[in-house]
Amino acid sequence: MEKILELKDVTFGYTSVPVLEDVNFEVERGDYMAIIGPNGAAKSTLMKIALGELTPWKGTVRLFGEDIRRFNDWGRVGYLSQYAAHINTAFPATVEEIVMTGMREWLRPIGGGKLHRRAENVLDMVGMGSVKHKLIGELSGGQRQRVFLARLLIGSPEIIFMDEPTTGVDAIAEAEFYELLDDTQKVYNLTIVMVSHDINAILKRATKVACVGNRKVHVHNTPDLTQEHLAEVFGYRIYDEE
Amino acid sequence: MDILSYAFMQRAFAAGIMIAIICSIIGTFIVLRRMSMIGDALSHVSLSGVAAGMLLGFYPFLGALVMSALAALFIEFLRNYFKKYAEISLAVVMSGGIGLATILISLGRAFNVDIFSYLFGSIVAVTPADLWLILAVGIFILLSMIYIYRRLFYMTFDEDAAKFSGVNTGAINIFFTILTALTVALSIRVVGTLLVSSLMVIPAAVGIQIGKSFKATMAISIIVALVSVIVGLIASFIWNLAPGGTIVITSVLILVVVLLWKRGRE
Repeated sequence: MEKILELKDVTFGYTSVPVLEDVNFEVERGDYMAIIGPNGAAKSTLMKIALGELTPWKGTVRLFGEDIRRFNDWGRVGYLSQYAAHINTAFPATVEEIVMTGMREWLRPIGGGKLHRRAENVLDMVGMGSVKHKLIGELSGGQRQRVFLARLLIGSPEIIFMDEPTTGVDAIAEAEFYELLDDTQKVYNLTIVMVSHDINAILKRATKVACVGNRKVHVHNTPDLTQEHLAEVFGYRIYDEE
Repeated sequence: MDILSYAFMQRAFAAGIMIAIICSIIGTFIVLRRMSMIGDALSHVSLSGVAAGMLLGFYPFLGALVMSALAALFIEFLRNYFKKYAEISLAVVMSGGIGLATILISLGRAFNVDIFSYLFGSIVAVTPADLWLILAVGIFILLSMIYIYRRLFYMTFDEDAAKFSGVNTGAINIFFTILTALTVALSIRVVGTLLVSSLMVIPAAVGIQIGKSFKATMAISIIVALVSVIVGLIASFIWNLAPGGTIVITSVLILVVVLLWKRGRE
């Protein structure tokens, strides 16, 4: 399988103390990788390193085979953060206007009138076609997150990074969001890397699990993941609801 | 239209209309970026450019443009040191600007009347040279805004996502701050340094209140600024008042009417 993301011997810290040490893992095309671990275990830091926003002390990061420091093909990459919780809800822009920004062609100074059709299609796909003329602030947290997913998908990325995408979203909307993501992964043939606090939901879907804790990252194929592995990272046992 | 038979009024209207358009476009982005104070900071610095010009004998308006642009770069420089406290850089530049202006004005002593026109605006003060400068730089600002408009919109809503989409947010931030500085400096001739910031902020405030999309918000903001400037200039001519005051009071009245109307509907 084609390696999309590769971290090799990565060590990083904000001060003189490292928060991640000798991290090694690979994400292959079609993988659904969950990054889990207790609060403060450097999960988001790991994602920022993978995206080149933080530079490791040592080790290398490669995205699509290219060193992250030289990588500039960002059209192939999508990023979704805890938007629903942090967005300025008073921002006077419609759902459609926001989704349009996800297209690189639209970001050129002029033209792009024909791109509205594409925005409509993607909004229909995430079930938000009927609210495209509404202001973003008029939507619920769950609806907003679907709009941001649409903005991501419209750029046709090959890999998407998500940092706790369902923060601030209620339980029903959260479940719907995960299901929507399952569907879109199939339609768009996506590779997904997601930091999540919802262990049960994520373990049902992820093909690989990266357990982050005590400065280390251990990657398991989901079927091989045992309660002992989880207990080691979290310091306590996590039981499946089922 | 008697009022337009005066050459100085023709110039005031031409300059005023250009200023209304650029102030409202830049102002909408400024308000949404939570930087409403930047107009005040830059206008105080541009006053020091005016004072320097008067003291040293060069074109004061040019002094305003240069000082304002330098202040914009300084704000961006300071912002890197106070990442989470954007307002600190504005406060520092504003106090520095007014301090410098005060020193230069007291050194010169004799030009109080001229300074007055730069503080509160003047309709008789727009010379043909001023008008050409306002139109030329104004057109440059307009074309530049068209060029960065969509990327700036993306960044204003979500700077992180814009960065990951390959938008050069650092360069656009600096460029936009310079355009803001030029807009402020151009506007002081008609509106005055003390009031230019309100011409940027109030029309945007009206737009945000009633706009049902970003496009509509921008259009409403431009219309409110145009109406304020035109009504304000006419009032200034009729009652012999400083135009800065009449323009800003007109825009405040529009805002109050819109807020009351909105309340009545709810």
